[in-house]
Amino acid sequence: MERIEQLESNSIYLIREAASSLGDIALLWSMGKDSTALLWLARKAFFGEVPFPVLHIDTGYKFPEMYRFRDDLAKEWNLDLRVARNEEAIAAGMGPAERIACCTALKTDALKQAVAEHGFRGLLLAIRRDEHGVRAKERYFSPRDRDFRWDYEDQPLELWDHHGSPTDPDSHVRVHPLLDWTEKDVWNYVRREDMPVVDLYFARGGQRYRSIGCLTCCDPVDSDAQTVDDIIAELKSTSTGERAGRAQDKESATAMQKLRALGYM
Amino acid sequence: MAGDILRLAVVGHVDHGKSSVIGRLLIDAGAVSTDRMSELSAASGASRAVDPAYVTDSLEEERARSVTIDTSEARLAAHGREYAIIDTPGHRQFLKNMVTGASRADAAVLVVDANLGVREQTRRHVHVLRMLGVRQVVVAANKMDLAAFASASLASLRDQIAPLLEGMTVVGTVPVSARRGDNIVRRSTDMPWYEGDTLLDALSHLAPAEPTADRPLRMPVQGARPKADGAILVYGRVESGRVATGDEIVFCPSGIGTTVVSIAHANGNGRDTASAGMSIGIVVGDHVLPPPGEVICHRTAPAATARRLSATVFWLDGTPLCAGTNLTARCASQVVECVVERVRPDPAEAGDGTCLVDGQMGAVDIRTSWPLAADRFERIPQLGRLAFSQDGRLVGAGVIASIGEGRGS
Repeated sequence: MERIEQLESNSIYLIREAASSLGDIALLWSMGKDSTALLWLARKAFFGEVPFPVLHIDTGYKFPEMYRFRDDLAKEWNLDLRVARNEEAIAAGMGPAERIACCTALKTDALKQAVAEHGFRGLLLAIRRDEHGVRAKERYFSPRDRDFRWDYEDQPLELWDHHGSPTDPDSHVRVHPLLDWTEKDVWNYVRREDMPVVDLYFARGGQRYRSIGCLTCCDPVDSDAQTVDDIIAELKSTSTGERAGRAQDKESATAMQKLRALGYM
Repeated sequence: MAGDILRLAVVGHVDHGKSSVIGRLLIDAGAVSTDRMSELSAASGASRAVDPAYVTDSLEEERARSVTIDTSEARLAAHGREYAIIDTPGHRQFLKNMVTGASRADAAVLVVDANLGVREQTRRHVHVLRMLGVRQVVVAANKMDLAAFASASLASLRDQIAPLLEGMTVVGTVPVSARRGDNIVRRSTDMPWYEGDTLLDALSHLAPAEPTADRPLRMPVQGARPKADGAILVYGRVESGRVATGDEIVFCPSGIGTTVVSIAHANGNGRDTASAGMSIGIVVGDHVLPPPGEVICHRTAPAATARRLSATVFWLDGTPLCAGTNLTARCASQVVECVVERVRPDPAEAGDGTCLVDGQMGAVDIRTSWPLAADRFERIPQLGRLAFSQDGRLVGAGVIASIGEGRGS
């Protein structure tokens, strides 16, 4: 089997496994290339129809292009889209002046509210090991307690596609079907599948976004890549990391670890 | 695009230098991005000299204590293929994390401190590799700089390690210094007596995972749903063998037989066959709705079905495994309750001789509450593996050595 086919098959296996073993699940969609690939895989896993809700954690600071992309695909793919916003924090003026506090309030807390409201037992997330050293420590099925804490010092045994399932009804499991994928794999998959991605990834005026989150906390990189082929060629020659333009990773050496321990994606 | 990914677990005793070997390999092969290098340099303290172990030891606690707590993985492209390099903790306390990492490996790098030789976790990790079915090994004799780069150190280590690795395929024993980078990617100038491969080059001799497409068909069912026309679509991943439209199949252990009406590939192609590794759907005849967890086999070559099994079990829980212990056993997509009938701990290990303690291996007989469809591990690995859980946590793993009495026993 070709390698991209192998990655695809294993991701589909994990998505199906999450649906059958956890029951009430949702897929976290940020409209970035990774979670859009995850959504694409979920459609394939269930033969064209996503049988669970798709959750967008909306900070209110996303790019206008992303909202348009979301609404177009939600309609075209007949998605059960749920949008979660921490309205209270947004109304109170929470913003990126304090980065860690902002990510925690507008992403983590908004997610907590959504999980509590809908009673999800599992969340499908599109994180990959090669994105960040701390994400490389993750399990495919990663339990979170009722306070969303990630106990990275005592993670469960996981082997041969078998995983535990927490018995506490207020806990949930993060499922990571793209853990084995790299940035290059995702772009090769976008090309192979002719999968839609938001325009922000393609260069305009000599710059493009390599990783997309909030408008306020992402910097574009210098690039002339205007097509998926261009991006794949660019990745072969670059020596810079994918998330170099993401501000929240850079607050300190262990910022990502601290964010994730508190329940961040 | 390169073909397969070869998964490589780096194992060995605590402090023998596993994370440093990986970091040095990735840094010297140019697999660490420039911004990552500046982050590592900043984190490495006043000297700014990058500690290679920090590449995979990304947790604050791991860096502060200079010990790997959890498994991690990084990619390296070389020899026209890609390696997934899995770091594993060498500390006794984090054995379950080592097993988690090593369980996805095709091969292993065994790191041994050339000055200290084989230690307790060196042995244990090799036993774990054997149980997991990882049979290819590269030995990295590390810290040669502290052994005055003497050829005698390598020779004595080779003698010491040979009996431990008996029956495994050792594709190289490489004298290295991860700290300095000798013989990792760059050939050492301090060991002119060594004419073998560098560690990176030794990896090229490792063979990719053996294909299981030529074994009997086994497709554990993950779920089923009726289609608009009322036909039943069952879905799962083909673990071994091949399946084609028109095949006579049987669900194991229930024994319900039917035919393959058509195959739905997740990637939408119209082929009417599928083979090991593919996640597919099968439209089955006769509106058969299989019980959850059943395994699809060809009618001519079904899996063995039994309620009594013998397995080599590796136990990973603080409460010992003894005769009479109740467990949940998982085999592919099947989940059944079971009771332990007999435990014979590995005589080479410590313990009281009647139970398996945390980190111990042994032969275990179980009786299940419901028939289980299974194969011997040597025949079809995917159907010959057991995971055990208690209270929602995995507590042990086993490979099936023999399958007892027939259905309904």
